[in-house]
Amino acid sequence: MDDGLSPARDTIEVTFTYERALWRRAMTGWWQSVIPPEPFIKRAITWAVIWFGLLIVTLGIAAFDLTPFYTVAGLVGAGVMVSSFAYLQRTRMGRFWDNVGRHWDRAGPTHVRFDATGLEIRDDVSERRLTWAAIDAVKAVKGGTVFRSGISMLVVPDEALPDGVSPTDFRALVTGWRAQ
Amino acid sequence: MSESENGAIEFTPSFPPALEKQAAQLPLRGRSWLWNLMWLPLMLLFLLALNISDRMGSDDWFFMAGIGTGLAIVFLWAMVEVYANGRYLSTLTAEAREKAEPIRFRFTPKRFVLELSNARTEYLWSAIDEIAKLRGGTGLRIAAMVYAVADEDLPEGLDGDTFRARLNAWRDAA
Repeated sequence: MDDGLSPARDTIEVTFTYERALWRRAMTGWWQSVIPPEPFIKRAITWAVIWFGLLIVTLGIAAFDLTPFYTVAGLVGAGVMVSSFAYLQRTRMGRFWDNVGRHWDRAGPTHVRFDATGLEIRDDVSERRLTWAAIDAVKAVKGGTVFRSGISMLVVPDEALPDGVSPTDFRALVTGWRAQ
Repeated sequence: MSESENGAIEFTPSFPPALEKQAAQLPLRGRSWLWNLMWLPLMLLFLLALNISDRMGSDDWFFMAGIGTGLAIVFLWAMVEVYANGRYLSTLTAEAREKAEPIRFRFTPKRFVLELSNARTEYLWSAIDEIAKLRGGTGLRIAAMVYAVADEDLPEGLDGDTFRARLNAWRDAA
């Protein structure tokens, strides 16, 4: 970052507009900053146990002279329920993003100024000032950086960063400010 | 703030959990309950399957029981997940609030101001997407965020309906 030509930055200013796809990803990142995903090996073991359990049940059924197709029936039932929930969740979140998007149509572009004391977030309808103590988590997502304060979320798209500041540089700066 | 503070309403919010729960639903609203009718065809299909399996022989009750068990397991699992996530979120909110205390809400003819120990937010009335009547309070929705105001937190002499009427008047004027 300090290449000898430009002095070390003590502020970063960005301006950006709402972008549904990035906000969607940011929401996932936001959630993962609350509940980190289980490591791959743990998930693999969990699924292995589930399938093994199903096998045991099937063998158990067979021991009572019943057809193993009952396990298939169980899987069909589970599949129907999983797809219903997936469908509900999709439409639910679709409404959520519609509602959120309508707000940004009115709020216009967001300007954020970061410095050692905190963040200043401004748009056409609001003004927020947060100290770094109000930021609970900072998380990198594809195309942006997510800041979480309680349950509220701020997304800074990588494209909005000033020339010569990579997303990694930006997050390093933020880490430094938060540590102060 | 330089503008006149005439009619400003200021208090410390208490965020009762029952009100918070209603408020959390606001960003997801916007579809009529009639949509629930879409489950009807699925039910009919299920009954049809039951009828067909009935004709195939008595053992097929086991088959339906298998499907039912599958449905029930996933349903229970989903309920546990929803409950656990809800608990996570409320803990998170509680922690963030504890850190941000003291919290003050101020409503003026021009803005809604939130004063926290670690943050300060000013919303112009045009920022407020929705002023919703909830059971025992009011929900102010700004994009995905909802601030719940309990009627019992309002200054003396001000009830929920009067409060909302005043906010709506300010918002309409903005």
